[in-house]
Amino acid sequence: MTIESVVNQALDRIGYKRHIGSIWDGSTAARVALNAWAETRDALLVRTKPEWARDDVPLEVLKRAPPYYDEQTPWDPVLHPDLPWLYEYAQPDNCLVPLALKPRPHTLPVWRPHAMRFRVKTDESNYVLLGNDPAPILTCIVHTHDPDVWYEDFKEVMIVTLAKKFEVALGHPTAKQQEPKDANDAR
Amino acid sequence: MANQLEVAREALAQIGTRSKIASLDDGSAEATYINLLYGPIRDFLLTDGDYDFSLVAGILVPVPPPPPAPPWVYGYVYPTDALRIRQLFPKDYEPLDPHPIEWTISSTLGVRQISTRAEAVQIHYTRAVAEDLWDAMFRQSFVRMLASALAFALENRIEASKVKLDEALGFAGIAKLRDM
Repeated sequence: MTIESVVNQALDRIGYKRHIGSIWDGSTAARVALNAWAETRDALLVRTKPEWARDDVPLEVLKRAPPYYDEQTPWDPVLHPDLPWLYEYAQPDNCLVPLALKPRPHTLPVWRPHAMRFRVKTDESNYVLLGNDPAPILTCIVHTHDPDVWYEDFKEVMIVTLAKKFEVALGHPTAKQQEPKDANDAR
Repeated sequence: MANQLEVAREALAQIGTRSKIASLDDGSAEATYINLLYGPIRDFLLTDGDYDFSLVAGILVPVPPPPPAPPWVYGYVYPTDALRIRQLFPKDYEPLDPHPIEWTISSTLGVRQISTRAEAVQIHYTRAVAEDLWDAMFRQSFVRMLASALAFALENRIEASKVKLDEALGFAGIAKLRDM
């Protein structure tokens, strides 16, 4: 399945007469679809958190807390993570929603799994994560752009959501036909 | 093969005029008004719709410095034959993650240019094309709109002009729905 076939199914849902050949073809429908595509896809991935979009990504430490804070080594927000966290990590570029942190395993299976606390923070224009493990692995929903990878139910949700947006942007021919011609018809 | 003269004759037939034109430069009142009205009406209808037959792809040419005023970063030459810009293609293009590119049209010292925030490489735009490339619905819409203008200009027939204008807009609506 391609981007265009998802868009065309959404256009069919609102009774639009034409299909697009490419999301870049410059037609009105293609322009509306291009405006809505990436945000709609990412919003639905964030909202539905599908299993097939989960991935484990090792985190890179950006800041670490010193062994102790005192008057000689006071807490410095430029150098150190927010209190009381030990580490600050960069959120991976392909991560849409962080779900859980886990330690890098030494032996498998892990007989005594325990939850690892973490927090997401905005550092100027970037998302960063705060935690207490020196080298954790992040389980997250990742950007999944290829519609061929999506499960059928997600494709359907995408089609329905796009159709709702198209209804506003492109008009709904059926609804237009049903509009009363004047105030008398409306009564 | 349709041409300008044939389309103009069709418009005259639509308003029931008995006069005929031999050519568009025969000096008659009909030819004079057709020459005056033909281009602007055609461009108006083409600009209003996104017809496939009027779509042209081109390469963007950067304008010489200085760069456009903020918040715009890149400036490109506005194609001289463009009636309306439909789409710009970003340089960093990822097929599975398409993002639109924002642009604006500005005029500096009478020269139009396209300004963008992201670097663009290609353009799709609307331009006026020869009559034999028009589709049937667009042609009907154009003929009626030209007829509407001619009914008023040649014979001062206000009602007939209104009827033809309504028909033209109706055809244009159908044509757009089909071709957009």
